[in-house]
Amino acid sequence: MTIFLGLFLTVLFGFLLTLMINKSLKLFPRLGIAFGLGIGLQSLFMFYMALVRIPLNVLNVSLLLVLLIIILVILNRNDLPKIFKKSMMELINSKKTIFSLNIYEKLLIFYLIFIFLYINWMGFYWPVAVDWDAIALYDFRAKVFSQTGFMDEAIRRGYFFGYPLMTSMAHTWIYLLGSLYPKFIYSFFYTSYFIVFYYFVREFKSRKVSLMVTMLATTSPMLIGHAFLAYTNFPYSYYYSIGLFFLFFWSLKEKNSYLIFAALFIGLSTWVRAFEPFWMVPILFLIIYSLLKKKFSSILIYSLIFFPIQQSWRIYLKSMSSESSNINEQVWQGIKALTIGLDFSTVFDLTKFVFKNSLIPMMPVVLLFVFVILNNLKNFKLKKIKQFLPIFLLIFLNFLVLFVGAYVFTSIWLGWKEIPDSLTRMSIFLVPLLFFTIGLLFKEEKLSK
Amino acid sequence: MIKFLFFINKIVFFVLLMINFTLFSLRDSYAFVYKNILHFNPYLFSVLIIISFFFLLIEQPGSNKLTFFSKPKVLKLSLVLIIIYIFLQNNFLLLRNAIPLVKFSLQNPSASYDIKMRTHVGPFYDFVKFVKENTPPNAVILHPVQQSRWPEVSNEGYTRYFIFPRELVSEGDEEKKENVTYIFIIGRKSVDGKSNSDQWPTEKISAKRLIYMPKAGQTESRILEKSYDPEDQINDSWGMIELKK
Repeated sequence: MTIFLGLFLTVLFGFLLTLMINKSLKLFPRLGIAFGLGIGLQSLFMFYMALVRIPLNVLNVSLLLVLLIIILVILNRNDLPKIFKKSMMELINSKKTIFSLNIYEKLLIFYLIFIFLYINWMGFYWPVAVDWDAIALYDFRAKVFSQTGFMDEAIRRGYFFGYPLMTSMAHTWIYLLGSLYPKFIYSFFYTSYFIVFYYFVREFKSRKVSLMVTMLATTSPMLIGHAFLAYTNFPYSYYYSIGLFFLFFWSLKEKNSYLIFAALFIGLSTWVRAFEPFWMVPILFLIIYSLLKKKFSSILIYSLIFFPIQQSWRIYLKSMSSESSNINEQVWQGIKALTIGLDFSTVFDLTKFVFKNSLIPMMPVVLLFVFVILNNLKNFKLKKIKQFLPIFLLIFLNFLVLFVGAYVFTSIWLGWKEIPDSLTRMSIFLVPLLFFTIGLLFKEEKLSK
Repeated sequence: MIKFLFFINKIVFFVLLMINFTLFSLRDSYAFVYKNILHFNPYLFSVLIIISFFFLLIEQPGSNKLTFFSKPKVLKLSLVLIIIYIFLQNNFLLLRNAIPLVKFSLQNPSASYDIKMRTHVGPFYDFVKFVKENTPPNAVILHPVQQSRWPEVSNEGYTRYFIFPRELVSEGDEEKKENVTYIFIIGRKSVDGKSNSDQWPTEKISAKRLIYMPKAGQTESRILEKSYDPEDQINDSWGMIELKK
C-alpha cells in the first residue's frame, strides 16, 4: 500500500508539473511524461536534500513531494477543474474509441497490452540480481542511502562517482517505501515511454500505422531487455529521446512549452548518464535553427533550464574530486582531438567498430528506415514530408556526435575496442528515434493515392 | 537462365531466413554456434539475407531484364517483408527470453526474495547469506584480489552489495589489512560442491575459529576452534576464518 501511495505522489508531482508547462497534452501521454518527469526531478531534489544534510527517509522525501505538490496545485488552481473535466471526457471517449476499432487495431492493442503486462509483471516480480553494474554501483548506492540516510557511507566505500545518482535515488525511494523490488521502475519507464511514443506518432499518422510502429519498436530486441534491467541505458534513452521528440515538435509548432519539456528531459538525461556527448546535439540543433530563423531566444530558454540540471552533478564532482565540471571540457576535448590531425587508420578502425556495434545490432530497423526513405524519395518535395526534415537533422547530428565522441574517446583510452557492448547500449536511443521517423514517413493508403 | 537463378535465390532467401530465425531462437546461439558448428558470427547470416534480398528487389517479374528500384510495388513488397522480418525476429527473441522467466514466476508466484535471488545469482548467494548470518555487521573481511578464477568473490563491487554493512578489504590493500577481522575461505570445490575450484587462502593462518558452510542437506554451520590449514580435508568447503583480536 505504501509503495502505491509513494508512487502516486511521484506521478502526481510530475503530472502537475506537466500541467504548468503545457495544458493541451492528452491524458495518456501526459501520464507517460508525468512518471519520468516526476521520478527524474524527485531524484534530483533527493540529491540536493542529501547535500544539505537532510536525511533521506520516507518522511522527509514524502514531505518534499507533498510540498512540491501543494505549490503546483496553488499555481495550477484555475486550470485544475478544467483539466480534470477534460481528462474525464478523454477517458469516456477512449472507451467509445475501443469499441469502434477494427479487428487489426484491436489485435495490436491487445498485443501491446499483453507486452506491457508481461514487462511490468517481471519488473514487480524480480529483484536486482542479474544486473552486475546495478549490484556493484546503482543499487548498492541506493541500499546504502536508504539504510544510512546520507551519501557519506557510500562515498567512503569507493566506486561512487562513476555515474550520476538518478537511478540510485529512484531505487532509494522504492526501498524507503518498503519494497525490495525497485526494478519495476524500468518497466514503468518502458511502458510510459511507448505510450508517449504512440501518441507522438499518432499526431501525424493514422491509428493503424501508429500502433504498428509502436508494436515494432516496443518489441525491439535492443530495447526490450532493458525493460527489466536495472541499468542506466534505458532511462537515459527515455529522457534523451523524449527530449528530442519535444525538440522536433517545437521546431514544427514553435511553442515554448515544447522547448521547456525538451530542456527538462534532455537535462534529466545528463542526470542519468553525465558523460555521453549527445547533450551537444540539441544545442547544435538550436544553433542551426536559430541561425536559420534568426531567433535566438530559444537558446536562452533552453539553456536556463538545461544547464542547471546538467551542472548539478558536474559541480558536485568538481567539489568532491579533481574531475572537471567545465561544460566546455567535452567540447574542447573533441576539438583538440580533431585538430591535432585525423589519424586515418583510427578513423577506419572506428568506422568498422561503430558499424559493427552500433548499426549491425539494429540492422533490420536501419534497413526499414532506408527503404521507407527510398519509398518516399519522390515525395520529399511535398510540404507534408518536408516538415519532417528537422528529425533528419537530429538523426544526422546524433550519428555525427556518436562518431566524433567515439573518436575522441579513442584518443583518451587506448582500450576502446574492449567495450563494444558499451557502444551498443549507448546507441539504443537511436532505435526509437529511427522507428519514430519510419512512422512519420510511412505511407498511408490515402497518401499514396 | 536468369529466371532460374532468381528462382533459386527466392528459395535461398527463405531458407536463410528460417536458419536465421532458428539461430536467434536458440538460447545463447551466438556462443554455441560460433564455438561448435560454424566458427563464424551467425549474425552474418543477416548480411547473406540482405544480399539475397537485394536480388529479390532487382528482379523484374516475368522478364529477363533487371530493374533497380523502378517499381513502386517492389519497394512496397520489400517494406512489407522487412516489417514481417522485424516482427518475427522480435517475437522469436522475446519468447526465447520470456518463457523461462514467466514459467518460474507462474510456478512460484509467492517466492521469497531469497529464492528469487538464489535463482538468478546461483550458489554464490548461499555463501553470502552464510557470511551475513555468521559475522557481525561491523566485520571487516579479507578477500582475494579481483581475478577471473573467482569472478564473484574477488569482485569487491559485486560482493559488497550482498554483505553490506560488512566491509571488504582486498588482499593487496596493505593499509587496510590490519583492520581485518575475518577472511573468506574459498574451498577446493565450488560453493555447491559440484565442481572444482581454486582454493584460497593457500597459507596457514592463525585463527580464533573456522566457520564452514553447512553440508548439503544440513542447516547448521560447522565451527572448528582451531587455526586454518589449507591442507585440511574440510577445506573442500567454503567458509570464514575468524581472526584472533
